[in-house]
Amino acid sequence: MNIFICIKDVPDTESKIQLKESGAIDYSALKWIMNPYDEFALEEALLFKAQSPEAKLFAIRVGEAHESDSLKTALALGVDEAIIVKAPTELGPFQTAKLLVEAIQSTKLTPDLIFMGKESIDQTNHQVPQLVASMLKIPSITDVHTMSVTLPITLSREDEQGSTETLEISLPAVISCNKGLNKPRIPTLPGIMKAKKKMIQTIEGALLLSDNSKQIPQIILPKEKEKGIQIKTEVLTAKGATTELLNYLQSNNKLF
Amino acid sequence: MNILILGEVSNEELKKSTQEVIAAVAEYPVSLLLLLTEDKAFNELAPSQVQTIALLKRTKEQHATDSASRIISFITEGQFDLILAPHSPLYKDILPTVSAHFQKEVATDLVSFKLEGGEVHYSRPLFSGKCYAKYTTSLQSPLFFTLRPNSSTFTSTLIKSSQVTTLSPSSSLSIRVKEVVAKLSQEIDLQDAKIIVTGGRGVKSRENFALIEEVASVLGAAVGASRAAVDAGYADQRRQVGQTGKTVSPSLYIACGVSGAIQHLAGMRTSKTIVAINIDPMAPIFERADFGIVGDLFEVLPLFKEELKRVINQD
Repeated sequence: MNIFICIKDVPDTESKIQLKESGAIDYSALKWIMNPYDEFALEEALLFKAQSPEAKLFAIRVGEAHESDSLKTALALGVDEAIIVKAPTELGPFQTAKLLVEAIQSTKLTPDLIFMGKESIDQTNHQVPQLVASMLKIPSITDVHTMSVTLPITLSREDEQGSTETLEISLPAVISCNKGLNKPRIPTLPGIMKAKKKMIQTIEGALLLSDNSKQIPQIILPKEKEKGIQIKTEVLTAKGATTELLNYLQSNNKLF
Repeated sequence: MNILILGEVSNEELKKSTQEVIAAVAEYPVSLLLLLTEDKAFNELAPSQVQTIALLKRTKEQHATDSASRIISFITEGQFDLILAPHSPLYKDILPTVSAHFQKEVATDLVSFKLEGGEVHYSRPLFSGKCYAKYTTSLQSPLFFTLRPNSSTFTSTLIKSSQVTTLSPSSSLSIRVKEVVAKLSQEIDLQDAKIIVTGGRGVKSRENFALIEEVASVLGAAVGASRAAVDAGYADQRRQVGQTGKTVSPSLYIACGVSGAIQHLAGMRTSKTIVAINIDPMAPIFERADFGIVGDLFEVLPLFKEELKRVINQD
């Protein structure tokens, strides 16, 4: 069984976003972490491997090279091979999907399962899994929160009405992972040491991108929020505070 | 300019988020395509802007994904230039499968959208709303967009449409729906809600969460929960608002016992009005709240509930 996990490095949520003089986002000072949803993807692949020890796990990342590469974490957790497709940070979802497909095809192995987080927390495009699946002409199942690790594969997700739908699929397929799918494990020291000996293969992504016309957005930082009204029950009493709140909501037409 | 709106129906009515998308291109006539399971009906009421309505049915065994090929054919035959949908769970899921066929990506979760002078102007949030990216693009048909619900105000008058056709289901069954367990009926969808009341770790137990639900009920609001509350078992995962939960954009967001961690703010920072009740005056949520009460939610909420009931009875 060939299982691919596509991961992305994203700026830490605590990071403050700053702009360069040119108006573009300044990525140089940001701390990079593995996209949280990709952690569920990686863990699910590891659970599959535990069930099917002959399965081979490949981790792929599209992006700029940097020190705290989450591919190193993936190797420390036990993936067999890691590939980085070097490409600019602000690549759009379609280009990202194309590069992921190139990397998968470069292994000359037919994927059985491709796991990804449902979206990245920085761009939240929520579409790379579906685009990759389309390009490979296989189905994608998004926002999966429960999954069997043995065949036949059944999985569950929230449907458009918020109900829980249980689905049966056949492989190959792309699975986009949601919170609750599993509990991601942390690398162990032996795992980290073993990973130091493993190589990350490099593909020069820029060479593979045929369409270099990139849409450059204007980045707007929202205005600093004005300080709101704050009242204390120890001063106004709970009843007084509640009355103030109700008056505020009514005068701002917030009710009904 | 051929514009196709992909929409949804709930209780036989055109969903508000679909009406909002139609209103986003108010000056243009549009075609409407609605996805429905075969057991559902549509009351055929739509804004006068809508020229034709096609109902794309699927069997109960089919997943919405297997309707994608039909949508692709519909777009090709209709030679549509723009395809717009609400940024709802349904279209978040399937629209990229459709756009990929046309070698396109979807511009998703747009908070602004304007068609002007043959160009499309739109913006979307980045980094959990810490900044916004504004784009202008010329038409290179077809283009695909999803719009964040509750991003604009609109009014629409619905009239009975005479141009409704039903498309039969595709034969595709790449994903088989085995079972659907409905959520509790009457629950308001977080992403469509105009008012949300959220409970955080300060609620302290699952039993106490009933207080949040009661206040929400009086307000006709949806119920949310912070990650801390979900992880502690006070509320189900589907109620989670935040970076690894749902992103919401209500008119009013009332956060009770929520500290206001950045990951939570990521899910609700575009709420028009934010009210916070927390016993800790240093809670970060107060920096984002338009109105904050430093106090015990167990004292404030029951009183608030009674005041609300009194106001309702007066009207």
